[in-house]
Amino acid sequence: MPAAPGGEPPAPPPTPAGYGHGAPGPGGLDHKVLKSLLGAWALAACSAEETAAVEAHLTDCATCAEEALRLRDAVGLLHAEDSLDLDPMLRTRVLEGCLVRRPPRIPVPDWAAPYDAETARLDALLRDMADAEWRAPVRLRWFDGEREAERDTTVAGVIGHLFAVDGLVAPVLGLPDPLRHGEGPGGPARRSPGEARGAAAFPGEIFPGDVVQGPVARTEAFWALDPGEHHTAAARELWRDQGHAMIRHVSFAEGDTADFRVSYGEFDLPLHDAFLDRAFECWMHAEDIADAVDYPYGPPAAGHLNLLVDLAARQLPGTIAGRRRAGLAPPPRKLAAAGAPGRTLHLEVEGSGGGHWYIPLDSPGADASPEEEVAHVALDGLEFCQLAAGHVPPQDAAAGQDGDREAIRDVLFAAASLSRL
Amino acid sequence: MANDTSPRWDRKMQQRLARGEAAALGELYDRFASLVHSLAHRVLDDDEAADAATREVFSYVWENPHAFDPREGPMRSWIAALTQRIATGRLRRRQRGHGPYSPEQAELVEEKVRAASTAARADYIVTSMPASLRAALELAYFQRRDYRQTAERLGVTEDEARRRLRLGLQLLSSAMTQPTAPPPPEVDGAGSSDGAGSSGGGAGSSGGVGLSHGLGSAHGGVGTAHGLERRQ
Repeated sequence: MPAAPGGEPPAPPPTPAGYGHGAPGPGGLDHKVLKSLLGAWALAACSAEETAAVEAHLTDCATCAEEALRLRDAVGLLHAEDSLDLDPMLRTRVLEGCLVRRPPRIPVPDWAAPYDAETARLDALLRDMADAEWRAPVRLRWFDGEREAERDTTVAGVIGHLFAVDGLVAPVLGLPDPLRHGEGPGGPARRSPGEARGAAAFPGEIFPGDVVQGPVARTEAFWALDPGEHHTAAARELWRDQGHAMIRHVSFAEGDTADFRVSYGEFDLPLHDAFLDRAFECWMHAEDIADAVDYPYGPPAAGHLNLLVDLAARQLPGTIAGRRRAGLAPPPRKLAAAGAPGRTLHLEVEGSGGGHWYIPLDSPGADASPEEEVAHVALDGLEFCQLAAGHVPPQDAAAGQDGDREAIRDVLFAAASLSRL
Repeated sequence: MANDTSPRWDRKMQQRLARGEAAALGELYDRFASLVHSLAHRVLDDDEAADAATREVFSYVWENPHAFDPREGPMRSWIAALTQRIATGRLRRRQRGHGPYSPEQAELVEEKVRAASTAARADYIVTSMPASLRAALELAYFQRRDYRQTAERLGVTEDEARRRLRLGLQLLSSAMTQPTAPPPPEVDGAGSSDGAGSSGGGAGSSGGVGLSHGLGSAHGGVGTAHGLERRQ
């Protein structure tokens, strides 16, 4: 606590009778003006003449003297704000402790927990961000299937991106799509019920269709809405409110959601996986932001990390198949019958949240089995996630590799291809 | 985020907590954890102890959502008072843990607890006052500007700058007004009871009333401050 500027508080002065409160003091200033100066005086924020005038007045005026003393003491209570960062992992510990003592009647589903935790962690990072930091440049990087791609935005732009893409999930839960024509941020409440589609709440009419599909189109649409706005902190509240609403709705909907699917335009995901996908994105972009403003940022909790790695591993066979169809990967060595054991890659993810996954190589429908292992790839969990985020080119992934080179290449390229803007 | 939540938000949150909605607990944490932790840290001056106090505060709210009475003031000040109560309880126990205990030492402990409470109340007041007052104090105190420079930076008249500095300090000085009652019963016992789900009881509600009283001075001060902000 820095010492209060200025000297000792003045001693309580005697109060000689006979001084009218309205009488001008020694500096020619009257009681009212001198009184108004007390705060500035206590903070040593007036001129030398004013200070002298106030102090002379204090020997005459008991009320002012009493207040001056009180305000001077109050100055002693000011101190620099601690830059103590709340341990981001404390949230999980606190909530778990609470839920053990009083089990919730309406729990957050396990598969939504990583999204809940990651959005809270990112929000904590954003909390104390200064205006300038919201405008800090961020380079988003991903692997477009063939090569690395990148796009420049700002910290606020990243949050807008998360908001716009989370908005793919929201309507599945009965929440408004923030990019739906006519439903500006703030939702349908901003238009009257009878209002036709023609009247967009957004500036300009840029969404002629019903729903803007796909993460990229949605992000571009949101960024284009108001190039000024997405560079400000305003995006945070939209994103945060939507995230809280998603968690809330999914808690109430739990039993009924197993069959829900979220369309990403070119592909879709079961709702449960979409929540994991959004958690993964949130974490990776939080790292982008943390880098941009030079803050430290750690990995998710081990249990959550495991779910995120699992999602990526489960998406690999389908992605390999997609790459083959697109001519980006060589055709399968043999055509495996669905359900029959086929050639398998053993993916070993090390570190907290890691584990073993067996990836069928010939077709997504084939069964993977340790007996059919033709290759083994071992890498650290965080490294795997960086690969799946497209932050590490597949040919550079520092993986322990053993076995069929082509199979390993297919899997590493497929992992990188999971990434997108 | 430093401002009070709306009365509607408070009531809704209370209902959701009472209903046992885990998502509400998460939102409550997101809203208040940083306030709770910093106040606890101000009192206890130790990371781990502040973490433990934070756990206790949220446990108490989760297990006793009905202890909050919206008529007594906003949830934010209730939680701040609860935090202070729990943190000072922990400080008192820690001090007493240091061996034999004479009346003089007891008085010393109480003095420490009082100082810590005042500091925490002051922090709470600073985070709760209107941004315009906080900005004026920030310029005059931390950046050592005189009130004329402060006025210029804020784009207000010199009169207004003087007014803000004085009002800000007046609010802050209310932190030094001790509650007139003797140290109130500690709620940490209630917070760490094993009676999971035992919400509502007499202890809970009387605790709620006592807590609001504990922060009475800050309450009034902040109320005034909000009135001012609305006028601007």
